[in-house]
Amino acid sequence: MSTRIEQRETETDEQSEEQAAESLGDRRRAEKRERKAEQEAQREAEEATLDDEETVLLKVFRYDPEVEGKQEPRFDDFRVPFHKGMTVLDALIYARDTYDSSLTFRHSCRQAVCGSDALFVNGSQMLGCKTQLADLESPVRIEPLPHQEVVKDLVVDMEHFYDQMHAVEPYFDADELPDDGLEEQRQTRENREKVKMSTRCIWCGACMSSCNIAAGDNEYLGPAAINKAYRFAMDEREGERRKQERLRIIEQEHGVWRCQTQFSCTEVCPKDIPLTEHIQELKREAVKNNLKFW
Amino acid sequence: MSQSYDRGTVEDFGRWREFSAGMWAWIFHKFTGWVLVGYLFTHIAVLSTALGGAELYTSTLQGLEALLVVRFLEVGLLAVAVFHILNGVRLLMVDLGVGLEAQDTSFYASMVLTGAIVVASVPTFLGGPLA
Repeated sequence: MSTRIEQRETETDEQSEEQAAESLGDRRRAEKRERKAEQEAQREAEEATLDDEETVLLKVFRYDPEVEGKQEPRFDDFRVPFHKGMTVLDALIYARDTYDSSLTFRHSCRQAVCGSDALFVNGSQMLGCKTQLADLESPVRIEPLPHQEVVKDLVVDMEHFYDQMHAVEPYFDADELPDDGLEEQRQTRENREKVKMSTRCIWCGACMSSCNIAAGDNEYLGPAAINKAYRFAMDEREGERRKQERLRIIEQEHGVWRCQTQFSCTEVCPKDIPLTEHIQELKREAVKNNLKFW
Repeated sequence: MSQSYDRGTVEDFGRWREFSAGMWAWIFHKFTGWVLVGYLFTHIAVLSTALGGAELYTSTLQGLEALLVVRFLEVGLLAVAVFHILNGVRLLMVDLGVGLEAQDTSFYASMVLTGAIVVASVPTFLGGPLA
């Protein structure tokens, strides 16, 4: 659906034969006109059939700081044919390929693994590829993630989110390595169960965008980063010294204690990670770590 | 990021319609908390009249109770206090990591319970004669 390169193949074969008759440029322009007319006809035909088909109305946020006349944020309407199992991302791709090729949004794997297409759909952060249109109320309002700078249309600047993610040192770093360095470092099944949900994070940024505290406090690590910290702090293979370092990072002023348990992040997480639960557990861990009864 | 960046209709105050249970709980908890702080001052002010003797204290209280507005304010105060207590228990549970998956249910429960207690209190607060 997203590719439109079929018409090009015939071009190269004929090129050498007819070169003498007319200039290459003329021919190319004529071909281009032809193609355009063809596309236009196809589009019109497609639009005509929409009338007796089931369709969905999308209201998509548009903004482009580089084009004069598009600098004022606005909503564009797109009516796309609905088919069973259609996701928000499918609809966006259809709208882009059929109506407006300047419509910009991130997407890659289309199966909720890459975390590129977190969007603000009907007032809630969702993954476009994982959200069924059938579940949404019409019209479907699609906006970029709130509390992040919009680069263009539905694309937001994720730099700050990534900074926060990296701030918790999200990599496995054990105190002691096995003797030959390459040996497997096994985890107990119980420990794996404990961190299982937290490993699911796909860095989509939906939680951070939904978090009221993160919106007001730029230095707050945010749910995703704290969840990452949880994943490694709770990993028993890392050892006590590393855990202390990790706790030191997350119990700072803008760490876990900023969380006010609004549950927004848990609510929107497309991978169903119990973020608030993990943050709360780290809070308790931090308290236990610092409490001395003697 | 947190600097205000005008995205037109994207970020406006209409968003409250999209809040979920946890968010409402937080907002109400903040609100009731501030109301209770405010009440504390009036509470101390009224109690302080006792420094001017038993007579003054009694007449102040009787004077206040004679006002219909005060009766209604008392119902409101009870509502605020009860919600704050119940949601406080809910937050305690959340902090202890107990039943986090039921956090929205417990919020609705505390709302319903608050409503019931407030309704039940109405005869007591509004019942007596406005001397």
